Amino acid sequence: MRQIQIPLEPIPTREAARCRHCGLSLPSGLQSEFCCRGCESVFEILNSGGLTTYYKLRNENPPTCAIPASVSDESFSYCDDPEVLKRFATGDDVIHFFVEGLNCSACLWLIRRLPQICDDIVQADVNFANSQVRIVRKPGGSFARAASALNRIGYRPRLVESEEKDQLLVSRRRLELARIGVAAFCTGNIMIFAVSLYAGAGGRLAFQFAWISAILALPVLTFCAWPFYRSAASSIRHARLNIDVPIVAALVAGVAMSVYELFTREEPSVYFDSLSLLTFLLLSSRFWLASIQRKYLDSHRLADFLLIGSVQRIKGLTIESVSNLSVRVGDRLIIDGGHIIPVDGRVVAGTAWIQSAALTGEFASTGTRIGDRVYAGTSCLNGRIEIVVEAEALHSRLATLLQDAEAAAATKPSLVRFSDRVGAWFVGTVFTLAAGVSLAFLTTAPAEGFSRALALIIVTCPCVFGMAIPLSLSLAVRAAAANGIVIKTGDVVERLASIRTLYFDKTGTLTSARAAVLNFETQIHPATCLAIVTTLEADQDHPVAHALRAYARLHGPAADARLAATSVSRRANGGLEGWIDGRHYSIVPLGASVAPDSSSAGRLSADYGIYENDAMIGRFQIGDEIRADAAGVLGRLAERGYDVNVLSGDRASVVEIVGQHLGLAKPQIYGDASPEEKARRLAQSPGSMMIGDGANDAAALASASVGVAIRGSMDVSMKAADVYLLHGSLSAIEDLLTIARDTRFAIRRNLAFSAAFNVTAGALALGGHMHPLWAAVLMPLSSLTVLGSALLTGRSLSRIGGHK
Amino acid sequence: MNIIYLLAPLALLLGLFFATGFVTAVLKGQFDDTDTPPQKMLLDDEPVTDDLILKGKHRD
Repeated sequence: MRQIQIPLEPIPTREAARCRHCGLSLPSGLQSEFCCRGCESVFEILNSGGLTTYYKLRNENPPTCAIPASVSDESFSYCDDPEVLKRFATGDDVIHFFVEGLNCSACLWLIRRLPQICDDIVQADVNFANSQVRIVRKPGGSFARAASALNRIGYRPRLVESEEKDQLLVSRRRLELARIGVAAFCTGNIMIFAVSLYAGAGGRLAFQFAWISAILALPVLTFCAWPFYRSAASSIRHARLNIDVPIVAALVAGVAMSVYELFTREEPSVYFDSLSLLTFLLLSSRFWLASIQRKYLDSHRLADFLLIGSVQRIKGLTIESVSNLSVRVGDRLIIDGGHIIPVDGRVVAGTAWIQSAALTGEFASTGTRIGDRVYAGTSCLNGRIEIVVEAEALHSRLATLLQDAEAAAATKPSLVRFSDRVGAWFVGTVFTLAAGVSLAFLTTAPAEGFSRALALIIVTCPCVFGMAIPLSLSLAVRAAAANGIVIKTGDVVERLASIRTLYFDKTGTLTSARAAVLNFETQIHPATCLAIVTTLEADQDHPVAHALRAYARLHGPAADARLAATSVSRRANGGLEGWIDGRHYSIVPLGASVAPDSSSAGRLSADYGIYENDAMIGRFQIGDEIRADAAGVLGRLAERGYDVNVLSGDRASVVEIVGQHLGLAKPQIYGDASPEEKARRLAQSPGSMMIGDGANDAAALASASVGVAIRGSMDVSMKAADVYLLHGSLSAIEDLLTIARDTRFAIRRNLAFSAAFNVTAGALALGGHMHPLWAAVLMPLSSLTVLGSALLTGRSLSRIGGHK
Repeated sequence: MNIIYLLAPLALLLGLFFATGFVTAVLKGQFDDTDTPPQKMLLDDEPVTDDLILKGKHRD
């Protein structure tokens, strides 16, 4: 067999070379300072705009912001659509985008200098609190160009309805904070007087101090506690008991007892200190948790920006670009290769390769014929089709899936609500006991009865509910965030701790969701054979061709060489043939069992044979590449006793190959699962965690006890998921589970301590063995113990992962 | 002990002053975003252009 002679260059070795833009380590032998075209283009834009200081400002390699460079030439023309502006713009010239990956001051620096690279912008500003960028355009400037400027430097913008538009929301949040401030001031000052009362201040002073406490408590019990009254009232109106009812009951009972004391006794025992403290703690823990949630966006906005995009609509003889919000049933749209189909519709002209990974999880693309249905969220890989709209974006199959996910998400229990409720009942019980002991002594020794009731109320402490649990959860959320794990709400941490079963999606989770060469074998010289293959594929715009070219680039210039080829043509069965150096070469798809129905060359782990004059000289396998860290992480998780499974919508045969490669046994591998089936499986197995990526997982993510979405996933998953992995590394799952386990241990330790303390001290007080002064000393000590224990665990949590 | 009738109201007035200040600031929106301004403060200086990067060790 004669070989085509190509000089082989030694592959240069570079130790720990890193991409100049994103800081990822480069595969050895790559002839570039960048890991991908996307990173290179961002660097060029920043360089030409004089903005390379960005690289100096951000933190060390690999940077935590690691801006994901995007190569998509997404059209943002919808940003200038009047219909869209009416809904999203504030005034005439202000618009807000939600942007992922805003992490550090370098991002802030860069975005504020956006006017330097985009003439349409007057001012760009960042709000880290809700991950939004605020753009002010020049009068007559284009928001679309502003959006694409952001996109080009790696911050993918997504339109959001600004909070600025919702003045009501803004003023409500300000009012909440004002309530906390007032409660803090009043409670603090009441405490000062309360301590002297406990210490034994008597006579006229006791009377005056009690009245001062009452006056100070007035704003707390009216203005600050107003949200509790309102919510309790509405819950009673709707005959549905909520957490605020027992809180209000406790407040009313406490006020009634105190007021009675004030008007009947010369040395009244008042409980305004406990009541104010309870109000303050409840208000601040709620505010704290709400602001964490706000940072990662509430869900209805996510649904909005997922479904907004530009489409080309046929109007008479011309084509206009409009937002998909303006599209109505019956409109005819043109969909080009490289775009996501925004609506459900039927193909009326043209052909295209459609990849429906976003909807079904299947990576393979399928060809469309006239009359086929296409769905919103699927992407048109290449070709060009004309479709008639059958369901508008907001009524598409994808949107319905999202609504299901949202419904499932709403039914999840919340530990914080639980601790609020227990806290309220706790206070209620204490007041009932106190009332009981006072009444019991009313006829015999009223003073003794009141003293015991007072000691009981002072010494028992709902601090673990009001403060320690939310603190533990917040610290866990923060420790996770430091490791690139975004936990949407604190109660997810508690649910995480009881996870026993893990389900990993395949497409995009265990794999990278990009076509890649799995293996390549040949009887002739590898570089020569690769050069032949890449030459034949050179002009093909197809996932297989992209994968082969990328593979060839990794193997040096000889393999990536372009030879002189003639009459290259695509065969009917998806193969290729052509003439090089007087020889006939062809690439023929094999392995029909893997790709049964088609001519498709985009099938996952499809085998191909390389033939020279009808003699096989090699074969290669195209597949979605499996993440480098997948096998290790799955193995370690299994070692820690978790039941690790793969659950995918892709064909069973393919899922099996991937699963077995990762060392899983056959019963742990589930293929051919539709979105509905996935959701059912997750819903049926309690204590299960779904780790997924893609819209097809939305329902499953929401049905699972805990849904984890991986970076690069579609926005939908993030909406349904509880946890979002910023850096997309699977090892974050291990950190996440460790953090959750330690946090639950800390919470249980605190609950046990608090229960023991309250029962013992409460019994002593009821039995008359505790002076109110001792109670006043012991209570803060117990509070400090639980808070200190929560903080200590928080500190050890922040050392988990050790990436920083 | 009578001094307490002067000191207690004084302490309360002082507290009231700060509480009012806090509430006014909150209602004016000073606390709407507490994450961004601390970062912004560090960046207000004029950018230092990095000659090394501009001259381009960048090769094609």
